[in-house]
Amino acid sequence: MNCLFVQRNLPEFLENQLTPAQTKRFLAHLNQCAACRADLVQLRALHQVLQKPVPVHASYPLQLRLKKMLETEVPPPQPSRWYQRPGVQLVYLLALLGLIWSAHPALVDLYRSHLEILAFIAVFLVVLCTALLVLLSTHLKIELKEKLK
Amino acid sequence: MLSDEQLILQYCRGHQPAIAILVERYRDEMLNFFCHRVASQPVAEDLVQELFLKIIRHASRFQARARFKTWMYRIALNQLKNHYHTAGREFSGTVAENGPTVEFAPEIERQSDVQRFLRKLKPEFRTILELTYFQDLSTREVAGILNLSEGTVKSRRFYALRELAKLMQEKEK
Repeated sequence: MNCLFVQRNLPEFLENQLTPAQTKRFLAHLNQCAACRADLVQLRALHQVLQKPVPVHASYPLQLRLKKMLETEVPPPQPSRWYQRPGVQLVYLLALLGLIWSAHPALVDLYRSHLEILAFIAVFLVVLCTALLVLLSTHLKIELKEKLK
Repeated sequence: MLSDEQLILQYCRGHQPAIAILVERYRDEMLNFFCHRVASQPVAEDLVQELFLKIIRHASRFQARARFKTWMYRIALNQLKNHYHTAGREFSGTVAENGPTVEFAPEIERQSDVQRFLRKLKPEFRTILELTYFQDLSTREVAGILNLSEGTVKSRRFYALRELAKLMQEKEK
């Protein structure tokens, strides 16, 4: 322990905020260092003088002004929910259209073989899964952000 | 009890009463903060109203990882700088050289000596002592508000206390 530590932590020492181990080392240093002892004596006296002043309370006019302000000020625009965002809604719409399109009997008739239909459904499912993953990650990101706040 | 951060978040989501709780919670604390640094209580009250107006209007700018109290004190300190700038004075606390004009209780009169010596300190020293002793903020909170490391705050606090002790001893002589 050196003088710098003692100087930096004198207020903590005076308010018993140091750990027992730190206090022990702090006192050991004080026994050896006359300069730090002098600082302690000086700052102990000052510490007693530097008490929190008698608090001032808000006057009635201020309370009224604040109340009026709170009534007139409107909250900032609310951030939209994840499912209300235009991008997300567009993905939903495209997925829905794709589903309708793939299921339409007229379109199915156009396919020459079952293989082509299966291939189409596979591609569609991949696109749908990707869209869902994007949606889920966006949702989780927003939820996480809100939790961190 | 909801934390400050939860309340400001609720307000951002449109829950109006949340901000009223925050105003009620910090109204007197911020009034005391300003009262020590400006010429009179009416001026301090104007600053309090302005502070909460800023908080309300810029609530959406509140950073998720920040602490509300730190954010609020930063706004308050900037507001004080602007206040002194508008008044054509340096941000050194010299505006209130003659002491607040509030009607003081006898206990406050006894504290006015300390206040007078505090005003003679360098602004950065004075701010640290006021935030620590008068606003009851922890070293970590002061460091967050002033954007300094905790070590720097502790060092400056020590030098500020030593400087204050020196000034008070000179007066006694």
